[in-house]
Amino acid sequence: MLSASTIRLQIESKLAHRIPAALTPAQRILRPVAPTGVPEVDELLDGGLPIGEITEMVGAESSGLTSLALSCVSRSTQEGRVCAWIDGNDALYVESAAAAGVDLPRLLWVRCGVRAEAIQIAQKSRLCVRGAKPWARIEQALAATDLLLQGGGFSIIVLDMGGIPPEYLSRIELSIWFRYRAAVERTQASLVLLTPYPCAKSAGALLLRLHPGSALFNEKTVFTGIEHHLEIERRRFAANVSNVIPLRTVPQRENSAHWQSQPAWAGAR
Amino acid sequence: MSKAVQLYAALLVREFPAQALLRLRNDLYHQPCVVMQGEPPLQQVASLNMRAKALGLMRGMTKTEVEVFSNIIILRRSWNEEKMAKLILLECVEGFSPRIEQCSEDGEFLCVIDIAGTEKLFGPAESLARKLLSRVKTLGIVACVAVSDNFDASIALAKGMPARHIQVAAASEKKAKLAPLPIAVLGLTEEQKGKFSLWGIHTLAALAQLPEKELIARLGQEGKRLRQMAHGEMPHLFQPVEPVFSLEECMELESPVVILDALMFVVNVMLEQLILRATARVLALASLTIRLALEGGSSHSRTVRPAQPTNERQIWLKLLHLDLELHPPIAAILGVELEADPGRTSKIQLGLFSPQLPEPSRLDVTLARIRSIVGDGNVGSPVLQDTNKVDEFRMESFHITTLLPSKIDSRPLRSAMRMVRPAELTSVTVRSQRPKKFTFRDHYYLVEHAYGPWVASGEWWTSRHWECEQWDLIARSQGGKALCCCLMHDCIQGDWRMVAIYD
Repeated sequence: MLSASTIRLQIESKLAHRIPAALTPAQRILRPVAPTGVPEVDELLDGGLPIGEITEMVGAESSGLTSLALSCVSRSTQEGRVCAWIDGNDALYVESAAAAGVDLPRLLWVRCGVRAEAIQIAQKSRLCVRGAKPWARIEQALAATDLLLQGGGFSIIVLDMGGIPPEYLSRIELSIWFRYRAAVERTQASLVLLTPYPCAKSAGALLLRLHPGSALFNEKTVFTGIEHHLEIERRRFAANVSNVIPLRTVPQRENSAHWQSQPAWAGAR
Repeated sequence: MSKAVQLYAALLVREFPAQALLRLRNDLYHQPCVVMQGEPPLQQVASLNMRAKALGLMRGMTKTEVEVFSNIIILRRSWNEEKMAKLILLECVEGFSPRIEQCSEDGEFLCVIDIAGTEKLFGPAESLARKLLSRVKTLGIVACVAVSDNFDASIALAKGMPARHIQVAAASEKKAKLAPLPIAVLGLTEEQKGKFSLWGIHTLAALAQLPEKELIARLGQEGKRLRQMAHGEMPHLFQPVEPVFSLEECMELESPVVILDALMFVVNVMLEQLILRATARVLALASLTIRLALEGGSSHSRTVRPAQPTNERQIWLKLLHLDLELHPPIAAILGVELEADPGRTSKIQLGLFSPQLPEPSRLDVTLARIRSIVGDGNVGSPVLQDTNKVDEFRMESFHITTLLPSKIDSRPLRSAMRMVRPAELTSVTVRSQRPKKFTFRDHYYLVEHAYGPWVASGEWWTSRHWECEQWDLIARSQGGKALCCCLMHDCIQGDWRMVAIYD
């Protein structure tokens, strides 16, 4: 009597010219992910942001970049990990981070381009000191990211370049992003890049495009939140569920997600 | 009643002023060096090393006489460094016995330690002497050790033997070992030396053979004391000192230093000594303060404190280097002083399933590097201040904690705000006391919805008094670009500023 494995081999060899490895389940590579804390986005991304890769979140102001990144950091710090926020534009609002649930002692905040004396002058005078070219703070942010990636141990490193004009970001050398990719691959970290312009190109494993959000009008007297819209623009490793070729046309995978964010004062509805 | 066992070890460091200086100057170790003291032009050689002695130099020579010899390194006597070296030696000796009596004279360091009862810890007396000698050698000092059951006999034996040697004189052979020693080892006065020389007494054996009564008749009670010392039977009341444990090192530089890297070479040697001393007590350095004496009489002080006590010299050097790069001294450096706080050599016990965290010592260096890039006070963990003023926080140094957060929060996704620092001045068109249009970063926005005003004020009792109206605006640019932002109307100055953007 033939054993089950022998029978399986015989069937597979007979069908080999039509269906390769018909009865052998396809090998699946389980890629570790870091949940974002937004169920709609996690479902779209098969669990969350890829670990050991660069994720690029591209969007304009009010598109939800910061709230999504803070949600990721919040999840990670609540699990006992440490995260870094490299603030290329010195724009992180600490109260927002606390409201998002970030465990602040586990967050390393690197403020780039801070000029204490300039801020003091601006506060005293009516002049605006902004407008200086952002090269210095871009360089600081890139150097700090490099050091943290080399050091290792951080689960999420957010490089926040939001608010920096695209004409400056586009001039960052591609070799820097490839170096980051090589460095982040050796660690258990996710490098999340927040930018108004896609600059990591093929060094990034995931490119998420966040479209400008639309404000919610649930109340007449207070601002109650924003509805965000996210779209996957590029993804290096898409989940391959099966090796069976279906007879009918495969339905297209959902490529976008919608979710809402509320300010701290807006209660549950 | 039986007499208590007595055992003493005498540690003698000859040419102490020279050794105290050369201890931290490894590069001069193989060169002939002399230490001068006194005010110019009356400077004299106070101490010198073996290589200088081999060339024919000796104590008491003037600077002009020294300059006759070529390639001689002339150092200035440093009382501070000698004092520090004495403290370090006493602290080192304390590791063998807590009962120490110091008998130093000018130009040498001498201490006697009561080692009775230490056999179980350090083995026989000879083994203890070897360990003591090797421990002192690690401090960069050459010494000799003599062990005897009599206090003064141990001193005499130490003075009568060459450096790097040890001698253990048991009770039975004590007299035989003391006999050939010159009478100078007893520390005679000039008058006593003259008398003994006149009598033809040159060794302790000859002195010991003199009749006691006749000797007392000629030299008084001092004669009796010297005779007892020559026999190795002089009784002594032990007067112990209590060395204070302090991790300090100091060095006076021969010439002003302006380059930071050159300073780091000096600091490296000092740090090595500090770590060595801390390690001997199973401790680690928790913080390090560097005090620089500068030209013009001023000083510059910096303190480096990593997350965990460590004895990694390279880490300390890097942290100090980065800190001094960020806060450089304002003038040339004349002297360096290092002071360390000891801490426990603790290790973080990580679990098999605990999340990966940055390595503390490596993180300290990384943070110091980032601090040197972005500036002090711009790296760390943010801490919210207890105030109603917008954007009030302080930065604290970032430390790794292995404790898990107390609660896992499941709150709805919050709209975050991106601060505009400093708040940008904005031109706003107001209609019916509500903002209708504004310009921001060269874009013209029409307000679709305006929520507010939310009035806030505070600290009227200080100069930080604020009084403002906050407006949450939903606006759209001419190109259709939506913007949810927060504008602040300063009621005191009457201007509008863009404070934050909802994102």
